Amino acid sequence: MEAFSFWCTGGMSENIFQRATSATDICGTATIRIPLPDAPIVNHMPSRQLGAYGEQLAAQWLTYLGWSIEACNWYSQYGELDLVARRDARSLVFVEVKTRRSTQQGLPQEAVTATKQRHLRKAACLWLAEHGQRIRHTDIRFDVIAIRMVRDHAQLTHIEGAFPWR
Amino acid sequence: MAVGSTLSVGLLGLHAFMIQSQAFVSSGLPYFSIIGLPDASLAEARERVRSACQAAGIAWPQGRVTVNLSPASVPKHGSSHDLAIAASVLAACRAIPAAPLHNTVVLGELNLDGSVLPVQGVLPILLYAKRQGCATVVLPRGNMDEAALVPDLHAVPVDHVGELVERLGGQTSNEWKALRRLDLATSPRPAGPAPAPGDMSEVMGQEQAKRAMAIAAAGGHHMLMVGPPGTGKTMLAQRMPSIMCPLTEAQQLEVASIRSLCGNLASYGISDVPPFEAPHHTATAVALVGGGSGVAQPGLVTKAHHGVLFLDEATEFAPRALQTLREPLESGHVTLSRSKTTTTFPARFQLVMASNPCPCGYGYGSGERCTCRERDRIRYFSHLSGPILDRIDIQIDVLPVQDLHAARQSGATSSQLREQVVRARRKAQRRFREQQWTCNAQASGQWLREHTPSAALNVMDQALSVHMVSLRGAHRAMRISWTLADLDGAGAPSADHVRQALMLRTKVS
Repeated sequence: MEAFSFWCTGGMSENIFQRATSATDICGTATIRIPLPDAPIVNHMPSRQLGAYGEQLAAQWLTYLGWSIEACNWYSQYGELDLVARRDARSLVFVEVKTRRSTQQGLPQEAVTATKQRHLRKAACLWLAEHGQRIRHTDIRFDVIAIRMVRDHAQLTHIEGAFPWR
Repeated sequence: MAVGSTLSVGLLGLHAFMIQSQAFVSSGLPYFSIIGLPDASLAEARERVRSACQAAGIAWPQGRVTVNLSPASVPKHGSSHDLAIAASVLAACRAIPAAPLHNTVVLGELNLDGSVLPVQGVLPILLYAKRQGCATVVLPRGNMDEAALVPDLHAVPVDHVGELVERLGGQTSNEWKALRRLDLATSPRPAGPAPAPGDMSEVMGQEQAKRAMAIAAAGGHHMLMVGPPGTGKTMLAQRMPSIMCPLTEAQQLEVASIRSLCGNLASYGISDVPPFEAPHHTATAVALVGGGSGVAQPGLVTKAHHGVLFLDEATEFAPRALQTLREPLESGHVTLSRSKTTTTFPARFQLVMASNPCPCGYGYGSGERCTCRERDRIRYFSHLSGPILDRIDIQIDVLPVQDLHAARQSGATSSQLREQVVRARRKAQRRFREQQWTCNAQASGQWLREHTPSAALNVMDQALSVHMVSLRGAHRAMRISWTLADLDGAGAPSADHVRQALMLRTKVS
């Protein structure tokens, strides 16, 4: 239980990204390889907790990038918005986080299907209706952060502008 | 920017056009789309290409993959572009070097395990690629027979998408090499060469009909044989290719291209024997001239291009089907418009029709064996309408053989007749060197009026004045008279040739 509280309370130190390495694939997408100190725990986590762990890792990554987190796990009738972040003064980004331990069922980013995208757009509309006035923005984007847990490290792929408003 | 491109060739009928397959790989959610008006089978290439690349052990790009087939406004169809799409995607993601593919035509259908399957219509595609100066063509190993027909072409056969990658210096897993390959040839291969058409000497008697066939073959005239059952009309017609002028090299390639398009080149191979098509009399209009939804497919008139279209029991054909022959008979090609495109196929065939004189079949001579009513007899022949009959230059009666002894000892062989035909045809070709046509049947009316001697024209005038022939009929008769003159070795038709021609033309109707 101690381990649980470790990750649940944001026990991950900020500097986990300092030992991270980055590789860019042919599509131009950068994949960040992050060594995880608590990998043995993560590898045996139930899937629901794994998802929460991934979302937290993603939130830390965005903070590391200098973005400010406006909301996490915001629920609506269309489902959940994992993260809402502000990239700079003008841009608002809705981030969907997908975490997987194996690629048996395909890549994590492949799970963001057209239906899921539709739901995310609707949820984003509802979020904007509620908070849009408060946060000044001129630019809205949907990002996907795909995280794969591989043995002692996580592979984080940040797909910027993954799908459009349409 | 990761862009890879390669070439493929599309076919609209027999008209080939270059397609550039360009793949663009960018970051984003995994997505694969093919744009540039693909039809359903081409859009399914997505699944085949992706799975084939994975089967060869090449990682599929984990981002947005867009393939454009340009020119983007021309509809594309079929599965023959699979390998080109795969090659352009692999080049875009640097699995293979991009440079060698720029001027290479890549053909082939992919299976899910990555094996490359043969495609139809390779011959016209290769001929076009060669004309366009493409240095190299990558094609399925199953299509190599056809590639051998095109000289001076650097053809690279491949069995598997992995083989293509390795030839270009890319890395693959070795699993695909153990694949057991099914021999999915486009059609079964015959044991030996195609059976040669029979010999004219096998037909008893009917010297007059054989002479008429030689005239038809020499001048490229259409022909109708009318006679009671069992007189040898079908046998005569089946032997028509054996007395015709052998196809020239260009014609052979044209015929082979049509067969390649229809997917049955393997069962014919390339030969100088003119094609012979004999549809059953239940053939539909679409079967005859071609058709189909979206993009039209060639019909029998196209398959009989440079050869013979034989309609046995012509009067039993549906009138509508027969009427569709009117335009191709006149123009030598057929233009089919369907929802997606308009396609033009060549259809310069020689029409040979056979028919009974009446429903019971015995209405010849004095007609004493005939049991038909007058009304039935009229209706029977009205199926061959005026417009069709008007286009048929030679109309002859094929009467029963009455003297077996005489019939047995006679008999010109096919090679003898063919010699006459070839000589006459060469003569006509020399004469028409300056014109666009190659045989008498295609000669223009103006040319005929200018070059036919006045003695011959006088006879024609008489025939016209007693309404024996129409003006078009007169021109047709003039064409036959030129063929008769060629067969006799004369420089120009005499009055006698014109009389014979009128006789041949006006037997029926």
